[in-house]
Amino acid sequence: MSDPLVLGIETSCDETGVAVLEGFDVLSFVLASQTEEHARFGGVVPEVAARAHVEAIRPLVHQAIGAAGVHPDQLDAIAATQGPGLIGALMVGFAFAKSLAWTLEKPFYGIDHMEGHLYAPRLEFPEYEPPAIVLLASGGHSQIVHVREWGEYETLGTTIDDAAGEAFDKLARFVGLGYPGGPAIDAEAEDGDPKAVAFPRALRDRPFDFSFSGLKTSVVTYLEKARDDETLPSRPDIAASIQEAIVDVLVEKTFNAVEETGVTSVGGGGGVLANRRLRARLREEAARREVDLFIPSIRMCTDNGAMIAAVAVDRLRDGIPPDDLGSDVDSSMRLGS
Amino acid sequence: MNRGIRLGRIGGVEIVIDFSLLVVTVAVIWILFVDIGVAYPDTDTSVATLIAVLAGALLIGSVLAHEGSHAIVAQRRGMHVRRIQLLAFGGYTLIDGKSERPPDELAVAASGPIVSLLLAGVLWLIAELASGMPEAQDAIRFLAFVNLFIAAFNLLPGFPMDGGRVLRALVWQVNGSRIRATELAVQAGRIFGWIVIGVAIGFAFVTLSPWALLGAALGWYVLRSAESAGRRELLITKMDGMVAGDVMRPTPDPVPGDMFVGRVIDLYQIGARLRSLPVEVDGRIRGVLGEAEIDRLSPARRVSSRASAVMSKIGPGDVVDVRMPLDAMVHRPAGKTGRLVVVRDGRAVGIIEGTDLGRVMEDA
Repeated sequence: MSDPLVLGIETSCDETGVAVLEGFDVLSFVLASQTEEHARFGGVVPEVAARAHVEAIRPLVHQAIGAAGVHPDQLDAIAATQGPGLIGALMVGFAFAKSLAWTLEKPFYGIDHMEGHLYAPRLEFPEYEPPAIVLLASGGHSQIVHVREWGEYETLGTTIDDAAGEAFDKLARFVGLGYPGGPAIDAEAEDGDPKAVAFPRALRDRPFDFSFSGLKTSVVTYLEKARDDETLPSRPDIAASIQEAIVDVLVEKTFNAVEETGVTSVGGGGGVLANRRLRARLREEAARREVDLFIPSIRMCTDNGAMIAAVAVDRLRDGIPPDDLGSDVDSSMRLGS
Repeated sequence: MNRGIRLGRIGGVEIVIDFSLLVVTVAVIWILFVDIGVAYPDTDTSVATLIAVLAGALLIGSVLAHEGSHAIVAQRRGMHVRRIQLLAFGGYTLIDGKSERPPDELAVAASGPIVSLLLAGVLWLIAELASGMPEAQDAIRFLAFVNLFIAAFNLLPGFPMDGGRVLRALVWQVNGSRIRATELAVQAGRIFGWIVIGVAIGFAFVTLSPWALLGAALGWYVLRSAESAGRRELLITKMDGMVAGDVMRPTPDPVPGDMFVGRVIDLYQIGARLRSLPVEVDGRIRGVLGEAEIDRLSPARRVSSRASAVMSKIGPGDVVDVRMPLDAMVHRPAGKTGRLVVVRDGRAVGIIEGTDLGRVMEDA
């Protein structure tokens, strides 16, 4: 069988992502980000997101199919994110994909968003194979997944309160930086000293889980006290220290899992993986421990349609029957269940 | 269920007679007394009374023999028997923990009906030999029948009847899964409950005897018992080996009691993942703060109230160690807040809500 041609649609949060894959070759990759729409609210507003997806989806699908240079009739399957995510946002892409599949009489696959992130590195690293430990961190989720086989996943750790991206957003606000907080802190921290302030690293006794409430509390308490005492360090120093605290925990817990499972491959996905300090620290640690690191490019780390199509490509290759067009989104979908 | 009279302790086992058995016993004594008077008008009143009362005592003795045999076999096999409750035509023996191996379960469950059957046989023989005293003969025959009935009723192959436990032990032995075996036995309990009800109602129509409806009540009892005992048993089975730490929702460091609620909302993401937080006052966990407490406050009060003023206070009974076995927690009365704070080395590390236990049921 020649490589299957698959259209993938992702609308779980604030990016409308559409891509066409031929096997794991990305023929087209288009994205509409809604960051600006949400910026004035300081976070993703579900209703705004759903509306923006509705506006973007049709032209983007057109664009993706056109850029791939294929005719819709040639597609072997259509895939869309089924969950987890914002329910209104998910429904837009899911319903669009189902309608398209029905019209074109093509197989339809509903894909777990997190599995999409697990597949993303495969599109850039053909040699990437399980078993692997994957750090998934974004504004909506933070978890450490043990990929035993493709399709066989165990979530080793997760956040007990905020996702890492939410923590970045909120902390950026506390120190007067804009939204989205991740890139803002990343940029501000460039000239800062990560050791300027020693913020706590939480949940040391749960080797694979994250918690960011303690960090937020200590940052707020620290800022108030330092303002009163007029001992406030520069904003780059504070940003660098905050970033270091988050990155430290993400790296430490990821490699705790590597040690526990004895795997020699580490992957990553999610918007937080765009953070330069996190990427650098993961590289250092992987080199030190002599494990292979598969962190894809930033566009492949953040939400996109290609990763969704990639999972469907594998489904087709494995002869897994398509999903019923009567299936629905599942906003609280859990990996491996 | 503690309605009844405590008879005392035998070998560390508390024995309680339920009111239902007392009512039945009094009724039996009265009916026997009247029957003797009608059938044998020459019998002396004191002799008739003596026979009726003795028969009543033997009725309680029969139920005690049935439950007692469960208890003795259980103790012999190293289980701890806490209480025997004697109900009309049956009862239950409360055993701490649960049988670990199918043969133990089988022996404990089968012993009661076997003893009842033996008693029925022995009483029948005695009745046959007592032909010289027809007044007593009828009473003894009646008791033989009662024991036969106890054995037969309890041998209904549906959980939680003895027969259902025997069935579970056998299935468990064959397929090795206690959970599957329990589910099957509970299902059998439901089916037999309905069968008993159906047969009883059928009898009621055919014979037009109101007594047949008593059978329907027994069927209803079996059905209800299968539901409630089944649910509890499945929970305990699935909780095997699990501890508080396995079902708790982990929590970050406790919220300082003097923090304003508005700030708590801002700093801690109370919602899908974190439902409630422990609140610390003077270095000790004094309460929990969650959506329930916060939703009661107006936006203005959220800004002006401190966590310690809004939290639901907890007592020592609402705190469990992270290593506490879950099956021990099932017997715990739920606290006022409906939440348990889980501690490790004196530090709060998580919270268990009522729904978290339900989750165990679904996941297991």
